[in-house]
Amino acid sequence: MSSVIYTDAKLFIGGFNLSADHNELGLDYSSEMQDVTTFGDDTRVRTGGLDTATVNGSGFWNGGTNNADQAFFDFTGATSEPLLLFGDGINVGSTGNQGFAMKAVVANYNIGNTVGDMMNFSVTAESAGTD
Amino acid sequence: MAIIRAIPLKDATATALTSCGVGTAYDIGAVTAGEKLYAGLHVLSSSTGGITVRLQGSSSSGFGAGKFTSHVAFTSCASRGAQWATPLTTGTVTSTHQSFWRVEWGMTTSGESYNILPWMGIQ
Repeated sequence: MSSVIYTDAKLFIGGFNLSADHNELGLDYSSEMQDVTTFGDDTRVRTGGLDTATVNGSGFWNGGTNNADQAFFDFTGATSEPLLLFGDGINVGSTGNQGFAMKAVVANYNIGNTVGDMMNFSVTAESAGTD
Repeated sequence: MAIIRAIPLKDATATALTSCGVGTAYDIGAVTAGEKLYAGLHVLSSSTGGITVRLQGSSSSGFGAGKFTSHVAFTSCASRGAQWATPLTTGTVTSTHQSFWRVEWGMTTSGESYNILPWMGIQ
């Protein structure tokens, strides 16, 4: 068993490397479970439905041309952009420590904090498929 | 499919490419029935001439003359952006030049500068 200290996550959306803007990144890969229970069953029976994937991130707001704020503002609700996520660095050619890729639409981009604190952002990008 | 596993084929995110070249060949495997070959390209910075990137396959790591095929040719890119290639299937990957994969990149003139991150996945 190997374990990873989470210090080298990488996030790319479109032509932007947004890794250094984040201090939290996560992937939620799910299946919309369907209920196929019928009379005679003595337990609830589920089966996998459509897949969904969501990448959540947050970090310190970074405004200005070609920075994270421009990327997230422009991509929110727009045409899907290729998204690439790595949990532990970019491991070229590795079939063991791979990344994750999807066509993503930025669903929401939130900015703010309380007075005196760092100005933060949070972002959610949802899969628009892979074909 | 909502998301796929991706294998980067060249990491030029920190050190820019300044001349034409090919990347290391990696034994990732062939596309089999029911699978698709996915490929993408992130261009993080670009000179104005434009960079062309191709995903090439071969049945051996040497990529000898006439022993490899360019399966995916990304559109020449002269600005920040990303591309997601149309996935290939066993029906569209007709060449037997598979299993070993690499990227080749070209630019208009040496001395241009490009930060890129090409990747592929078979799933």
